[in-house]
Amino acid sequence: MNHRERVLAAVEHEEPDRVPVDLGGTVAGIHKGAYEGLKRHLGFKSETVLYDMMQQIALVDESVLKRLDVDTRHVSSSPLAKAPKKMLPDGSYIDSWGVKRVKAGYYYDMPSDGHPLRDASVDEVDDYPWPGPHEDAQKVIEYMGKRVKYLHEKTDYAVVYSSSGSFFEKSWYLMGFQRFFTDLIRDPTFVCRVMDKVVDCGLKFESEVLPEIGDYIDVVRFSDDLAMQSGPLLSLEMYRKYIKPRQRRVFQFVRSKTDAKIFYHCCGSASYFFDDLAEIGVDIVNPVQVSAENMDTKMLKEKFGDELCFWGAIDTQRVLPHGSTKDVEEEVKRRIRDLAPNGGYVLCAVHNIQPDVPPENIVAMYDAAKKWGIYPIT
Amino acid sequence: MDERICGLRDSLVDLDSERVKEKVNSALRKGIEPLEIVNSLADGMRRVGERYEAGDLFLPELMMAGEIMKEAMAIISPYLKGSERVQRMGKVVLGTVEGDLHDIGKNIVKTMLTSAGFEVVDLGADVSVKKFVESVRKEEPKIVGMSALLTSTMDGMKEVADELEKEGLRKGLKILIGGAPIDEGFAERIGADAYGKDAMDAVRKAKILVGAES
Repeated sequence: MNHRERVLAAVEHEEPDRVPVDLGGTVAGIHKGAYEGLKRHLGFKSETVLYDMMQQIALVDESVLKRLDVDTRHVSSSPLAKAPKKMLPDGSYIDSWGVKRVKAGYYYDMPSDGHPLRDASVDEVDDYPWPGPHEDAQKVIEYMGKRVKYLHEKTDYAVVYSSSGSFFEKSWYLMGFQRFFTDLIRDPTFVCRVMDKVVDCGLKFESEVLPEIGDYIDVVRFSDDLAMQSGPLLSLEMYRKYIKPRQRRVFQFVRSKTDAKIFYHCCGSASYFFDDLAEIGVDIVNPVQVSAENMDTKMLKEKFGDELCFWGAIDTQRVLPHGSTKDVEEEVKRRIRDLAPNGGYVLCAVHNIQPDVPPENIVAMYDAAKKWGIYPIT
Repeated sequence: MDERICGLRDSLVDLDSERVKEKVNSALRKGIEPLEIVNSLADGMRRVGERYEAGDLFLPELMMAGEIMKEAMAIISPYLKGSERVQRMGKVVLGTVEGDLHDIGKNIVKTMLTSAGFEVVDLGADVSVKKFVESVRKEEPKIVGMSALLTSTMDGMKEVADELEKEGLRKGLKILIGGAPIDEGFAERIGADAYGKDAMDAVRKAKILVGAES
């Protein structure tokens, strides 16, 4: 079985020869600090290229992907489109949506004055300088088209495309968390207007990109965190009223342009939304944050395993940074045992690998996946 | 409770900000003790907190209740006597640790602590060890509260705890910590006095730490 067949079998809920593994992109990727340590550990020398500015994610070199026997290759409009729109003299920057990002520790985050629509009225939403296709959009689209065609025709990797269709987080980035969440009660019209604008921007971009790449991608990724460690951010009722209809619109649009499987990334205690997500066409859920509430992998497989493929699940909060290589191996065995029977599991870390994860543990994770992921799972 | 403010608590629980303001204003006009109005609102916040913990309410409702409480307090404050303005539960110095800009959780904890009668000195996010220590020296709080979202910044809490010890400021001071990657074990390891699983738990622990609840 080749790499792509392995991933596709898993996603189709069939048992491949072994559990496929992922590394790359911006939700299953690796922080440049961890990546540099990994390269040193593996004896590879190359200059680290940044794939995502905000999260400081590295572009993973082919040599590393081959060594870890990764079954996927990632494509997005990054790094071009994700480059800062405007660098500020103090080292912070304004992103393409107009949101300010300040470096703190390992990443760039939003300061409390970074939300441009914080005090806006509903009438001002339309006048906001919404990001259109940037100057290099055509070049980016051409590049992506060539890249995915190459990956599809000349390699046998599963191609994962990070789309621009996510809107929930971008919307609260624009107005701030406090306003977004209280306005869902006090002024939902404002929140809805902003979300619709963000959806429109994303779909406009996708309407140009997907016709070029739709036939060559296997998985299309969306990412919007609806939950936190201890539970969902909002009630199902509110989710169904304000978020789900817009997700449905996005997924339907994407579905009309490509047969790629729909991958949805939601951190935290996400299982609360799984039935609804499956209903509107989500095929794959990520990152399966096992340290959050109601994310026990055995329960998840039993309850949602027929409908959803799980992608992730190796604990990044405790085991990967603080465990031994033996602990990592045990973690891998446990998640494979829980999630892999009958297919439906692609293994990687819960979210990006952080700089506090020792390289030995990264290698241990991929090696263990290869050793213990062979079907039939016992 | 004065029966003339009955319904105020429930208006807060119902997140009806206009009605809360109306009722507060009318209670003040009727000459009801301002402190009694505050207590009624605090009771409402407690109920909202309980319903959040029970999974009936979520962040939007919790944050909205906090905003309504804040608006109501702005109306009542001028009527409170000097001694009543001093929050009765004591002072808390609160911040997100160095290298971590995530302050959403910390801000909710602040709202809930304030509603429960604590005076909160908010140091914001990305707070250095030095700033925590200086603020503890200056403010002399009963509790220092620290928050972290990142596994890579949580060790900053230990540095603050160690530094407070070294500077001789630890006596009588309680350390309360929280944030996604934190658990009881971590709190114990770094010598913190308590860990708050969420904002409600943080308030409960804070009350225990100051001896207001057991």
